[in-house]
Amino acid sequence: MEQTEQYKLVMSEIIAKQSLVFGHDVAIMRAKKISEIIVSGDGVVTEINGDPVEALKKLIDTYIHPSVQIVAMIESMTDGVFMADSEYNVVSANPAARKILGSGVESIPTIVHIVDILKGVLDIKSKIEEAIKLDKVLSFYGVLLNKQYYKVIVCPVKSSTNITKSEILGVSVVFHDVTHEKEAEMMRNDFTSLMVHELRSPLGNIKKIGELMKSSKILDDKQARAEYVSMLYESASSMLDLVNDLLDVAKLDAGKFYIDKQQINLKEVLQSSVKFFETTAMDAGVNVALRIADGVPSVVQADAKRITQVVNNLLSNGINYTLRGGKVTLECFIHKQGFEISEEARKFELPWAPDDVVSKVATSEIGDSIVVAVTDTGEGISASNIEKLFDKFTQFASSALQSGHKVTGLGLVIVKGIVDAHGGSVGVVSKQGKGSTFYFTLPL
Amino acid sequence: MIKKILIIDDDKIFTKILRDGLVAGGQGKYEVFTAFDGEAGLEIAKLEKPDLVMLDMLMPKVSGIEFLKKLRREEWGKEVPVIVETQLSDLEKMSEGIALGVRGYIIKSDYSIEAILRQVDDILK
Repeated sequence: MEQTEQYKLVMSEIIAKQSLVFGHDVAIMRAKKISEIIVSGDGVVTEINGDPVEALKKLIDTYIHPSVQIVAMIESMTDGVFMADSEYNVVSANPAARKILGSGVESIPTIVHIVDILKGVLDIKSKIEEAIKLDKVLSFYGVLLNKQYYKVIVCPVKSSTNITKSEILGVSVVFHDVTHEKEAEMMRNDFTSLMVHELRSPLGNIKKIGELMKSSKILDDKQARAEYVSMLYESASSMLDLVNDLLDVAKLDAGKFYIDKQQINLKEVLQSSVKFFETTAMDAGVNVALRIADGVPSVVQADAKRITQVVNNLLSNGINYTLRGGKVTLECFIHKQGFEISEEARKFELPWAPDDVVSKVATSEIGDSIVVAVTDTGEGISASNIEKLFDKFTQFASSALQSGHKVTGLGLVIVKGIVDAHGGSVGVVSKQGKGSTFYFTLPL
Repeated sequence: MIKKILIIDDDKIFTKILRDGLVAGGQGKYEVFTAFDGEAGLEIAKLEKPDLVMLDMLMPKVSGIEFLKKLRREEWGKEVPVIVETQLSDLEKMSEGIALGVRGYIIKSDYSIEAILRQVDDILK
């Protein structure tokens, strides 16, 4: 009697657990099947133990726990997966698949619903047919569904792992989210087309100048001829600069970017950079100033050519993005570990952009260094763009294109590469409409 | 009567070639002003009230689209014809420009001064 009660208890427990996963009908059916095995005294169960309750527990351990675990695993997967039988009936779908296919959390989507959702994107019915017929795994990359990209894998489901005995029961269809990868790929394409555009403009000009110079009219006028020759020179130089930038980035990517550290006079480097931009700044109506705080050593260990490249890049950006009447300051001071660089700039009464948006650099942790910074009164950078500035140049390029602003090319990626090679850090603080400060440190 | 043309483009060399081409090809019909960014372009436009603007879309400071929006807000700027300088790959992004009354476009990588002159003559006649 007691055994019967215990038996009922365990049985109802099984039904409860099973119905959670497979639904009530299936659970009842399985429970009946188990009862039959026990009652008939058939198979392994009674051999192990005459006690039906013990036998039942053994049964649960052997047959039900593993399947419950597999089901739990599939249910918890972030990839969507559904199974269709060879008649195209969808027999099960995990919550992720129901979400991706938009069939509602409760119900398993029908094949009609799935075909409809994938219409124009993927002919799922014929792919299922193909996978079953050829007994082959099919894979489709970049299937667009509700603004997300998926890799869809259609895989035949077999009755057993034994190849000779197995029979194809249907297919499993997996939806793996590849939105991130796909976006990165599109950014790379955007970047490539931007670079091609940047190379094509000066090349187009060179061709046009050649055409114009071929017609004798311009060659007659001495002044015009000189102008056109210097335009040829400028166009070729800007192409060469860009090609060199591309090569630098390729070196950075390949980890083959080297610097040549020498004893250099940093103040002189900064002075000549400011001088270099005098005319450009004047044309743009932007005031450029150099401010070097007390205590900066006159000689430092660095690659003069590369540091000039960094400073020129930051100055050029500053001037480009500052409106007429604005101000760009190149500044240099000493940083001591344990202090915030922005605070130190204020202490030296040097301009520093309001730091509403800060790239994630804990400046107080940076060891004793020389800080070189360019502060402008330009348009500032939005929080979403600031994170992309130095690392994911592709993304910034694309967002800059969308907003209609010309990108300054690969500059900042190279800036970071050069500063990294010197063992320093780069950072930005900015406030939209107020201006930005780009800075880098050189360890002392 | 001499017509005023304003070229706004940060590509100084392209601007110079275009300017020389319009001055020489226009045979005295056109007076050409140039600006290298949208901000300077707006100032010159306000001052000179050009009869035609040739506008680069991709510029620092004030972009082409921003310039167009500002131009159309001005009483005198509502009807000024605008030719946009662009790249073939950006043509799909032109719908916004068309909504702002862009009259024509130049493909920058593949332009001929003669074709541009014809386009300009056609708009300004």
